[in-house]
Amino acid sequence: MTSIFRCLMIIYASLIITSTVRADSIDFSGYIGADLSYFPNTGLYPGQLGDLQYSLVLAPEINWQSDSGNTQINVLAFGRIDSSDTKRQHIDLREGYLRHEFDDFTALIGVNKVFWGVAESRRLVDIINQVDQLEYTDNDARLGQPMLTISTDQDWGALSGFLMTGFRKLEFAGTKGRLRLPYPVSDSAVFSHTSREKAKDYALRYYNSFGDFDLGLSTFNGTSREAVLKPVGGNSFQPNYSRITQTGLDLQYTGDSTLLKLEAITRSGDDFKRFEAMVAGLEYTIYQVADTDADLGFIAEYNYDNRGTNTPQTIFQKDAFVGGRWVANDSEDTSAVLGMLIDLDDGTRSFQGEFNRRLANGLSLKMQFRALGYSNATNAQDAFRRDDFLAISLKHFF
Amino acid sequence: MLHQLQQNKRALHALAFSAVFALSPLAVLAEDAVKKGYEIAKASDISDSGFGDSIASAKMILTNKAGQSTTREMEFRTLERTSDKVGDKSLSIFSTPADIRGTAVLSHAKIKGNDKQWIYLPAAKRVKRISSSNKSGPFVGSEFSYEDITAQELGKFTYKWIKTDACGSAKCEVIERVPTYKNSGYSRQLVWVNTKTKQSERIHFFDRAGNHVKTLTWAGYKKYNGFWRWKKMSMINHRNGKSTELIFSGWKFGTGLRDRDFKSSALENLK
Repeated sequence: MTSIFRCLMIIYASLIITSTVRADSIDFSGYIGADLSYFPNTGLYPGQLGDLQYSLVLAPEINWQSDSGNTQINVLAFGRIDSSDTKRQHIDLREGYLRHEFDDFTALIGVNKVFWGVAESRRLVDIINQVDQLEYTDNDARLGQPMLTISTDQDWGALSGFLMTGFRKLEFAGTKGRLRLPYPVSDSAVFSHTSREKAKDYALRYYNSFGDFDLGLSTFNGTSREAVLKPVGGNSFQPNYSRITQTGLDLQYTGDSTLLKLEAITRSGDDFKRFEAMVAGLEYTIYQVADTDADLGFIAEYNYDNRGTNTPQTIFQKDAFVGGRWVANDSEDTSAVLGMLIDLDDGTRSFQGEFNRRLANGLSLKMQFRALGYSNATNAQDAFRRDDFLAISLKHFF
Repeated sequence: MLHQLQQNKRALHALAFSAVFALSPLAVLAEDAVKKGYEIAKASDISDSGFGDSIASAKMILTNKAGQSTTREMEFRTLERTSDKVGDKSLSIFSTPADIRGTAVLSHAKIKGNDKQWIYLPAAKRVKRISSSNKSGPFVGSEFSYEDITAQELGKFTYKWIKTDACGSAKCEVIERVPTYKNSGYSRQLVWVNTKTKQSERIHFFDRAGNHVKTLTWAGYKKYNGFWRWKKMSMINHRNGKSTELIFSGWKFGTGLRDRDFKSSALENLK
């Protein structure tokens, strides 16, 4: 992994150099951002930062494409400097790939991010990339995954095959960080007997659109992106990754004002019993609500997950999500989202909200909050019961 | 309220008149007007048939009532489909404001029923199928509605010829068209079609209540590869005082765009 990473960083550096020489065929973009989080409550665990956490983000991107447009190189790096948590200070190569379109198929080699799925409250079928847990203000943040991909899009649908190496381990906040577990998580991980860190992962995905329905089918065989955290010596956790096979389905029906969504998976592993999980729900939108230009959407989703013991923890065993989305449709692209996740077994309730608006050309503002209304002591979210936060982020795009 | 009453009164009058004249030669004239209206629209549609595919860059200038303006830049790609069941496929790719760079809307037009539409959100690298039933909502915060910007297929309206009128230095046929698709924000539209070029010069949009709410004008027509294309489209909203200009440049035809460039799976690699 480190050698791939180093190699790609060299490509990246040379791309920056060439961009100054051949600025016309190379496209340079990205953003620089400043984040401020406010935690009204004192942390639960010793050493955690006080009420403010601020950081700087840099995400440069370089694109190059051949005159024919058939060959493309894309590099996207991401880095964060944090005021207090050195673990949250990280650099990641989100993308760094070479892509070529042949007559009937497309090949991609390098680091990339791939998104699968349709649901809003949980990314269930989405499995190619590791979640970037350090980016607690961005649910879509993922670590770049090295891969070789062959894909084709025909009349019968789109088919993509993935061969992956360079497993990305979960990253955890440090002792000083918020939204962390009672004990630090060690950097060394344990892999189940058939799964060494260097083992390859395989995946296949089919997608097609049939009238009002969009269907995706996927299968993954490889190292689990989720880990079982086992206590070691009473003062730290060690992540344990098993080898898994997961088959998933995602389906969306697109009606006039209503979207119906379903994601379902079945997963087996060499350390645990097979389990199933699903998220199903709807999104109903009122266009031009109350004679304004704005749209107001209601989202309701039901989460179910019957995983047993010795599997990575989830908060979605039997949970309902209700939310609303308001989109102003103005020239500043103003929007707001509000949601609540409620555990139907133990009553744990968490709230999330987000407000987005462009302040000036190239400058955007995001404000968000997360709060745990009530948490049952047996719920995994209980570890974060004093980590409610309010965050403001400014991004300048170039 | 008063306005609505007047509308109703006018509608009643129209109804009474049509009953009186149903069996008269005027009814034949009305039928002729429908036929003539359709012929004009069809001639306009045919004048553009055979373009294959096209690419154009556009700068969108949104101006509010106070005169302050913001801009967006985008590229429009279109793939022609010659069928009476399906319309063209189109892609709008945004390059500025920089924070929405790479966002793209893909549309597969249909004559009957809703178009198929997807949006690509680059930050999440997510392709989302979206409903296209929101015809009357604003397109990216502009004074253009979705229905103004999507493919103006012949089969999506019924037509009636109204009159011959001057349009600038040219002569135009004015036709009325009524949307046949669901959820339109308009009761009718008056279209000024240039008699020489067969191109639309102006449209007056009438809301559900029958008020003239918006005016769209085209300017700077030029023939490229035998097809008329414009330099500028200006939409003025009479209700809120806002306006949107779309300034086009770099019209290209026969660029080699293929069907697979208009598949939702192609959205994440658009450049």
